[in-house]
Amino acid sequence: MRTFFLLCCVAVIFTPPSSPRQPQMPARTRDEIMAIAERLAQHRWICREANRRAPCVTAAVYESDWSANDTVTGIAYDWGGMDDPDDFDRKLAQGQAAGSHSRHGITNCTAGIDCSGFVSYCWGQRPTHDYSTSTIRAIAGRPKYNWYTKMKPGDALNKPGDHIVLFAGYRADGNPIVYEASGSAGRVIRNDWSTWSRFKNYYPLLYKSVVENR
Amino acid sequence: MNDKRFHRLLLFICCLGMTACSKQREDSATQIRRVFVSRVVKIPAQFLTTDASRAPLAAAQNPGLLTVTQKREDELPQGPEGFEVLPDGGFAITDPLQRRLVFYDSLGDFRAAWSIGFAANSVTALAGGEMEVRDAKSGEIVLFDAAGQRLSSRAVVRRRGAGTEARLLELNRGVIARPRTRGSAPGDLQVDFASDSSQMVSLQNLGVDAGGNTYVALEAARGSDVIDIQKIIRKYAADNTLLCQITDIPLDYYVPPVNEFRIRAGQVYQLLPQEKEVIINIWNTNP
Repeated sequence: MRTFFLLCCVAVIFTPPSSPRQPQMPARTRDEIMAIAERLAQHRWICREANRRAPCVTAAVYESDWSANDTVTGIAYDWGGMDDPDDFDRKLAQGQAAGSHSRHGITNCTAGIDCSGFVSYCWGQRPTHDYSTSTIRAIAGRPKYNWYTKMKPGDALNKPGDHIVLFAGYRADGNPIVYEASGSAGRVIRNDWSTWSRFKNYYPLLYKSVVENR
Repeated sequence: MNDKRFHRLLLFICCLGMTACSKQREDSATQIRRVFVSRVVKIPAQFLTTDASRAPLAAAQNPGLLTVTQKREDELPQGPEGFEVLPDGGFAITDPLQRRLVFYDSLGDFRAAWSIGFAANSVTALAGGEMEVRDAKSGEIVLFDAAGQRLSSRAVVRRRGAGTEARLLELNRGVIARPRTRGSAPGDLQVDFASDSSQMVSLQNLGVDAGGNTYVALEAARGSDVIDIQKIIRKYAADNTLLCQITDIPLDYYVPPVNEFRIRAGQVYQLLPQEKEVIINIWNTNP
């Protein structure tokens, strides 16, 4: 009995602690990442009257971004959300609200996607929204290249705690084109009017499992 | 003189020469007339209250108050993103959270507000007092007459070629394609940027005034761990002479604007939304 007890103690002492959860990082080509971004930005849906109410939002007044029967292009901005087009449509059909903002708090009756959910989803992170702008570094590194000339579609621009966008390319005037889940636009958009100054204090990120296009 | 001494002397002379060249380069850059901010207009802003009973009351008490949201994790604050300078020097500013377009005089005193029924992020004044307003949610352009009556709306054609008037050719060199009209010199305006500590990473054509002067915004990046940008606005004469430049442009936007700059009668206006007020900085580039 004593021997058994000692063996148990030794086993407990020498058993390695459970290792922290390793992030899943499915390989994605840059073309695949951008195709997903475009799909989310071009997704068309209609806001029904039922999609303008969020009964689960009690801490604040919920005012929908949309009017009844609006036809909208781009999945709705939903703070804390990470719905793909199929999930989004299904939730709308169930009568959930189209989108929410951070002022509405965490919700379980709204549908859509937020900025970090959008970039994570494009990088193949699904179905759960595991990364915020503060933690997404777990799946992305900081590139060493010249950011103003050498970024590639599928990289991201991040400012922890604030916002993250997916880089799509450079305009002829040198400014970046990005896709983003935008709170002010209320949806996923392709933004081709911003300038670098909008991204002051952001830094580029390179998805760790990105595969260069052939 | 032995070889070692000769080489040291040569090195010393080279260093002196390089320093002199560098100084000369800086001097030529500083010869450009610099224009400093000449006037600042401040319009108070309030946080959007999510308590429905208080929001209309605050707006009724002070209709000139603009609205912004509080900053929270992973969502940029929302608020006024668009503005226009009117012919009399007054301003039209979008107030998307109240779905309004608000008008102020040139000192920032409230004049009027239009309840437009949608969240706007851009406004452009047209001839005859008409206003072209962009719906931030749908991207549609809505036209209003001078009395604030909605006239029409149209979808915005996706601007895949946005920024094609300005082209960054290579590091520190770009070109602005200028129309032959409005008194400007025909053909391209070449923009060169010389600096030892930063590189030009973008340029934009902000517009051409009645005198044929072209206003160019360029962005210069400094080496840093994060994106570190300085914005410079230059004014070029019709004959391509660089007349002056603005370098003291603050970029600490609480709400990133869509209409960042406007040019009217030789004056450059910047919309700078802050947490408690919306600032309009004005530089007078006229001689």
